[in-house]
Amino acid sequence: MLHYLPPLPGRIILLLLAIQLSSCWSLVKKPVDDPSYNVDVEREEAYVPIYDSTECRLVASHPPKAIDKAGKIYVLGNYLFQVEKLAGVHVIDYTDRTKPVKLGFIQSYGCSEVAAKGAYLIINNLDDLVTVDISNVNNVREVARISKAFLQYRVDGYTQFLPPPERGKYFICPDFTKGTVIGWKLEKKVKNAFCFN
Amino acid sequence: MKFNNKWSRLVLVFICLIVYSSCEKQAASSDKAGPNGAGGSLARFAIVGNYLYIAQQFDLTAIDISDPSKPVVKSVQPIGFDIETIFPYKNKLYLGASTGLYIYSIADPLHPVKEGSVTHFRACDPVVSNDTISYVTLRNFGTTCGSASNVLNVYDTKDPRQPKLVKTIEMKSPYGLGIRNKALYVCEGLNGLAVFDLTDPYRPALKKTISDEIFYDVIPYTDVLIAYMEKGVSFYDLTDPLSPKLVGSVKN
Repeated sequence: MLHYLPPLPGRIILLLLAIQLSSCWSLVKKPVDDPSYNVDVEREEAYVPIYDSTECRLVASHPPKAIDKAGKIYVLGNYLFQVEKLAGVHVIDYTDRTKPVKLGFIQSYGCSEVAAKGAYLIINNLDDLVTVDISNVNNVREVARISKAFLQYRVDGYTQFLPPPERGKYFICPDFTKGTVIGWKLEKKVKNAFCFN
Repeated sequence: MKFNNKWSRLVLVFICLIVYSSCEKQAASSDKAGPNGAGGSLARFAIVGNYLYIAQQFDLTAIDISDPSKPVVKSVQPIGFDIETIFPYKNKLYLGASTGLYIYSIADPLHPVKEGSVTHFRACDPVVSNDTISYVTLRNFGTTCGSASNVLNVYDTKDPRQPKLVKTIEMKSPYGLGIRNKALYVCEGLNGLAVFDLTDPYRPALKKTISDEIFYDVIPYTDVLIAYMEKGVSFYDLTDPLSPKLVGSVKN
């Protein structure tokens, strides 16, 4: 185990490695024992993900929705914010704590962290840090975004994604920073297809 | 000329004093209720005054959010390996890493300075602290955690430069935790919420376990304990901190 950090160049390599691997970690069965596991390997045939990237960097208001995969919480005054894992943040008013009410849902793809200050919510949207003006929960506004603030962004835990339609084939491990996987296409002569279904 | 100089120095000293005292006030009130928010012990984000601190895997980042709509990254410093949680208390940050507990001073809020650390077996480890003690849970299950035991560790952090392990209590499946007065709450996942009596803060005594839900983290806030559960959130009245009473919840 690492008990120290290597000097800067080594550290950057470490980071890059972490980023490279992180998109696959804990998501898929990686054939590590496969001797052909190297970046240059080209598969005769493999599945390539089709992404929908329109929604993945969008922060927007939605009506209250069901809490499905409950995540971390942050409290400010009479408001409680709960992350919906990898999807956004529920806004809850608990002024009457015997009857807490969901006021709305803020979409933020890949969300895992939340904090609040004044009328602002600070969250992550995938690997970006975003400030959201929530003075009107029904019409929140993104007011600041620091792109790639999280260099080591990693999808916490298991994430479900639409698997390739066919078993027994290699596929390119989904990169969640590129969007949601909405489909797959089978291609010839594919590199970087290390995931296996 | 000399007189002027003296005067301006005096004024400067006064201004410094005023600024300093207002900062002190802010820092002191940040862990109380009111306009300040609070996160759980599993959080990677912590807001103290006008600063947001982010515990990333290797780094601690300080961001100026005096105007949250214009966040400015002020410092990023390497800390260790697998930093997982951050807990602010007064002018300190307590960072939980899979390899140990790190204590940073934020007396200069833009440039956190390491005061001390203590290493433990590789495990997942949220931390909560007060002036003299830190409570850390270690768990040995889950996807990213190593192979320690499931325990609640009590560290004497009176001297932050030399945290000392004073007590280890076996737990079943510990996650996040929180302190309110003489009560310590430890989430036990499927095994409920354990409430400890801290009359002797170095020897937490198990008072009761609330086991009707799956608990992951808690925030003691004003007179309410807010619990993050598998199905949503619950609110417990803390009139008697040792006997949290369920008053409301949001599930699904």
